[in-house]
Amino acid sequence: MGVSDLSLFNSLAYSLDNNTSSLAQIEQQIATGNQVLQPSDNPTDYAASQVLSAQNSAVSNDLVLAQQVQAQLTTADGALANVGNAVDSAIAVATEGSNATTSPAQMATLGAQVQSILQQVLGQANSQYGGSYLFAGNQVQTPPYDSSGNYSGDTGTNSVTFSNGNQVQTNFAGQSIFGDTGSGLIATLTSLASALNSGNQAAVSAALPQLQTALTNIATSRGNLGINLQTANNLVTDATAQSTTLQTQISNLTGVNLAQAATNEQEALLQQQALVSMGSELGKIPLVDILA
Amino acid sequence: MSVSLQSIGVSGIFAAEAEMAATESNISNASNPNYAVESVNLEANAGYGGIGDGVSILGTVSAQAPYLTSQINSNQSTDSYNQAFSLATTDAQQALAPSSGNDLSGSLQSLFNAFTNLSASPADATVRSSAIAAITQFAQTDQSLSSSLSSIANSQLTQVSSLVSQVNDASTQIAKLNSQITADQANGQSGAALEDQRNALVNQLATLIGASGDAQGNVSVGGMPLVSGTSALTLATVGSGPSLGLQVNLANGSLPVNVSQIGGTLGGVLAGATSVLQLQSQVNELSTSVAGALNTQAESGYGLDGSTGTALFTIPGSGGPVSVNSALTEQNLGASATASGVPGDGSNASALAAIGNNQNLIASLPNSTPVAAFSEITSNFGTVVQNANNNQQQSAATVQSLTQLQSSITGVSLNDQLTQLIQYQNALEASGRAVQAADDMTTYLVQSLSSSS
Repeated sequence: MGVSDLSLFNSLAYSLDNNTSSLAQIEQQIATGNQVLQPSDNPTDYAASQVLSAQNSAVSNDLVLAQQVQAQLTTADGALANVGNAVDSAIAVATEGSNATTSPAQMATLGAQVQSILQQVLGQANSQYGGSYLFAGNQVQTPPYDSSGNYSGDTGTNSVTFSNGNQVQTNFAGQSIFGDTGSGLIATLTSLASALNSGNQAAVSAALPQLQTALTNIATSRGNLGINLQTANNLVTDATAQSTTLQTQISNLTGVNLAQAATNEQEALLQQQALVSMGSELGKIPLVDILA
Repeated sequence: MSVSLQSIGVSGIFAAEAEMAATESNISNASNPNYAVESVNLEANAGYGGIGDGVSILGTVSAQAPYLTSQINSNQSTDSYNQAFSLATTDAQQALAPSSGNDLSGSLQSLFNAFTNLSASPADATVRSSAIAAITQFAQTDQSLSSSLSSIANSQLTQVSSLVSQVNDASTQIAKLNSQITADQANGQSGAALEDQRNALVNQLATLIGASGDAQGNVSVGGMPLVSGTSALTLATVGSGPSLGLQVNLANGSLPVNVSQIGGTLGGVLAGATSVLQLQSQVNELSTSVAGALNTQAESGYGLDGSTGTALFTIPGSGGPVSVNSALTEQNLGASATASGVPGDGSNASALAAIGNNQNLIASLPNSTPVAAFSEITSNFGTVVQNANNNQQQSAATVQSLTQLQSSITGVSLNDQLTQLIQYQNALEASGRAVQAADDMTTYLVQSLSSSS
């Protein structure tokens, strides 16, 4: 069986084509760090990495959002802590005002202090984060309290559901925490200031248990907020770890084994050199030289 | 009866010249892939009383490998089909899973992330703007993908007319060659060169449409004749776009061609277009299902302006791709579940985000979230492309191997030819010397007879 010259060249071209194709793929794998560059490289792994990438995107988004919620709730908690301190001050003032030895002039001074405390509380109740009022219920774009303590928010609340199903409340109805001119802490502080200014010690004494109740209410609200804050803290911690895990899983599925890829590249390059060398020999026809 | 020494030598000279001519023709066609190596058929002349009387030239013959030729045509058809199918599906895969930028899966997840963010800050203008951007990006990605797939399918289908034209040209040429070969054979000529041309054309038809031919030059595809003796039938396209079909025109009508029985480039192009259009249909089903569910949820919500009933997307009656509802604005995007919940309630945005976990949206892919459904579509199509590439590599290797085998029988080996050239040169020289010897003998005899008389 003879070997035609055309078949030799065709065979060389076919081998060189296959070699070039292999080499290009290996070099692309090394350049990108990915072994699975397109679905047809490994349909199952590509699809699995696509789902994992989507999960990682959701988790990464959760992380940023949870950090934002974390900061928002920390601001709200700080406001409640400040209000708690203000109520403590109000209790001290009321205790002093309820003492029979306190003079009317002293009581008027104490009344001014309570008025100042009331304004502090209203200021904290109008706290904002990112332009939204935290204690306005769902009416987040308008200050929930005016300077007199009238509440213009609502009783609505808002929660965020994260990709792992965890829910975190982000808005709070101020009325249930701070009350308004008709009830709760604000009403108590308003009436306390009025009692102190008018020298009504009985009314001052009556305000004390109401302030204790308000303090308890603030503590309870901080507790509820703390649960949400803890959830947000956990989300930040978990999302960071989960994102790392997902990236590892994606890398395991699609990442290239560099050592193996480098070996494959060397083999392909050697093969290429051999083929090119063979090609240069094919160009020579010994018999023609002999005949010449 | 006497032996003519001179005529024996002359017959040798003729034979050597014919062999050298064949060898030179072989050498000059060494790089012609459609050429079969030629040789001269010789026959020894029987002389009186068993003494040889030179040599006769019977004719020139081409090396033949009919079984291999048939196998190559068949595998060439498969390889061309695989190449065309692989090219179309690889292009579609690139559109489905671009190497850079967001694919539909990424756009989907960005959309659901945006709704989650909106649920946390429904009154925030920046967050609402980001949600509108994510909605727009999803629609644009869907449109871009659908448009790319349409373009790929159309580019496949637009090749069909040109391929059909090439098929008809080749069929016509084969019919003409059949006529010439028959005439040459009737006149006692070899017709080897014409048969080479016909084999090349039959191979071209195998490559183009998966046709097969017989030794008489009749060609058919899927049982439908294309060339019958000296007549060629005309192949024609019917319809257009996805409903494009083929028929064979007859003198008194036409016969539809079963496209599934067509091989070669034409078969691969048609199968590739069908596969890409099926993929487009699956993507459209996914995007319209998701957009429909999101629309229903968004329409039940309330925007910052207190309006309700605003859809996010416009879904065409044809089934996709989706586009952003032109009436949608940052203000009327329904993030709140109730009118009284505006602006701080983001529970409807939360419900929009939850659609990302719905496993019953896509009828043909049950138990899959939208992202998982898209991944399944990608995986399934990736398998189609993987099989196509593997099949193409295998068929190319088979064709290469068969071509090598055929070439070892019918191809030109320059070493062989150069060796033979020396052999024929020597034969020519020897025959010339034989004639010279005969002439010398005759001269000697004449001189001897003259001197003795």
